[in-house]
Amino acid sequence: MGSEVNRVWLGPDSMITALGHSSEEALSAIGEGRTGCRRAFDPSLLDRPFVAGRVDRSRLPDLPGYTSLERMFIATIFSVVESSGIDPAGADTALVVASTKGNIELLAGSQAIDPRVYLGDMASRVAARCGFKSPPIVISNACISGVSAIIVASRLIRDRLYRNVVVAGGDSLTRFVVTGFEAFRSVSERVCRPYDAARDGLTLGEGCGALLLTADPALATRPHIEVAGGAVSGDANHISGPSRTGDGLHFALRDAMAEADVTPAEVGFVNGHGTGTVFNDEMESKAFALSGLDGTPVCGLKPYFGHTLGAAGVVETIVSAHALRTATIPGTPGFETPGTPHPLDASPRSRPTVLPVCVKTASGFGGCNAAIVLTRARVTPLPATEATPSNPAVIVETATVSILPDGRPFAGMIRERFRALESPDPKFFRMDDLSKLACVAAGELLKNTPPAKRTGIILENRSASLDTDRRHALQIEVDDASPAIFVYTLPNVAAGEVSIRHKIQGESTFFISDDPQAATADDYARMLLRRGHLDAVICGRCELNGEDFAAEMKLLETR
Amino acid sequence: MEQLIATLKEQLIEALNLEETTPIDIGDDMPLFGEGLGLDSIDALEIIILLEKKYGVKLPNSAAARPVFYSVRTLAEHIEKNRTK
Repeated sequence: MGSEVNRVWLGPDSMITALGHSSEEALSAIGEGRTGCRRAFDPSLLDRPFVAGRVDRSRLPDLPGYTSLERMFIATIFSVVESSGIDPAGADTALVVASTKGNIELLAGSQAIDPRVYLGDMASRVAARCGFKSPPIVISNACISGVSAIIVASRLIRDRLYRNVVVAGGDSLTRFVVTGFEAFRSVSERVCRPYDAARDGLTLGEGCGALLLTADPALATRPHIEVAGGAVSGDANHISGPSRTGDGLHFALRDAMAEADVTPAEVGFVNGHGTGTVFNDEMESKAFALSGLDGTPVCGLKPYFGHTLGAAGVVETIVSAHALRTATIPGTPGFETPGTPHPLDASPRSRPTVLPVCVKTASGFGGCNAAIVLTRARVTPLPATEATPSNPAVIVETATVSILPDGRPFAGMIRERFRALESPDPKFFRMDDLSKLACVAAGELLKNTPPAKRTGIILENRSASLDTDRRHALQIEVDDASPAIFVYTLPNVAAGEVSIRHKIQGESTFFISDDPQAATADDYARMLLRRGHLDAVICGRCELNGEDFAAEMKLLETR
Repeated sequence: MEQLIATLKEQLIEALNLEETTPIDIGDDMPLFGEGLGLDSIDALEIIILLEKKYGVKLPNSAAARPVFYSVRTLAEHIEKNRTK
């Protein structure tokens, strides 16, 4: 691997959102301060009107046999492929797909599972339709999925595994998601107002964004924008409530800026997560302050699009890159009065910036955070990310664990293995089964070893959180959603529960892979260790759907 | 009031999945959040839903409503005053 790294340039982009069916339409609306969120009544989603950023489905390409979300993915990915001229079938070209719930509207609680509900299935058919030959890399990591996908893609390019990676993030508005968020009482009756004193909740949205990351500067959109750094971290605090200190997000910001070799003073603006809930925005202000960014202009884009979940990280990064290219910080509609413990410098109107650097952040359920640094046409190259070490790090497998069906019902088996850990945990039985499985496996891996300072959790499975998804789908057929169920309808929350129990604040990323033999998590974990992002990783497969379960995980450490 | 407190404890155990807890473990005046029973923000939401469903009592998820959640007794007192079911 040596000291040579590829720089990561941003190529063409495309998006389908409440602001229209192209990046140009959205950027034009943002320039005019027009938001795409509207109040509407759709009884198929919720029993009362609500404000959201809705995509105009009548404008989606006619693609029989594909769901609306798949059509959004295909349209935006195809646009990026076409604009860039890359050969999607090339061996040096990959597709990374980010989504929190994919085709979840096809999941009816009591019936047989439609195979398209599996994220890997959805991604594979989208990839094939767009001409990709490499199997898509699929990430489902709550609201940071889009930024995670950009970080994973940038590392694949940096490590010279691929030259071109199309990153596509998307989610659609579904009854499944809308009822779930309503159960959290965190949805505003109006358009969200990030960072404002009167903010009172989030606004949901839907859409898809696709973006080319490339090692080839000839394919970069002008002026050149580079992904100069990125990092993912965990709060290790609570699976839905944001950290009270902001330390997790601060770590991600610190590490991303360090990798990009920028100081806070050099950052022109921060495009935050800005959901508009009291607690999220408060946490971000603390994190920005810890990171030295409290004086830096801030913007929140969710009033324009709504919170587009899996699409957010990609769509909002595209807008950030455009903002850097035009030296204009987007306005944050609805912002009037600073309303966070550390007052943030947001503005309802766009503002010029002279600095060629911006930071994009995201935070999500499970307590995960991600940050990337974008820089405009840096004259001098980045310093080599790491010189060839004289003693290259050796990666050692220090523990393994296997939890497989043994004929006993899962409930009894997991209770017995939990007791054997002799680690009292009053909240153990309130977690969903996937989380119990992950926590027992991690508990056994770490039984004789406290986790290293910089430990991460990299997991994969095929069914994401399907077991709990079915419970939530059944619940909303007959009653109001339960927040205690809905919070577990994201596979990375299982990793979040592990991180809370063991105070693990390193990167956690959840991959979805159809192939049980795939070693995506293992390979990625090793890359993180080789590149020095982490000193230890809990990695492997953690799968559960009813009595069909498997946890095969290991603890990898550098020596 | 005593019957309501007893019933409420059982309803909380069921709604919040407190598998290892019996009503005897929950003191009438024991703090529900932070120390004591150690409930969290998701449990608070579930309690709001429980109060609405079983007793017709609407509670906002706000700082102003927090004293109501202090203990089983404060919850019972609030229900007694405001129940519509």
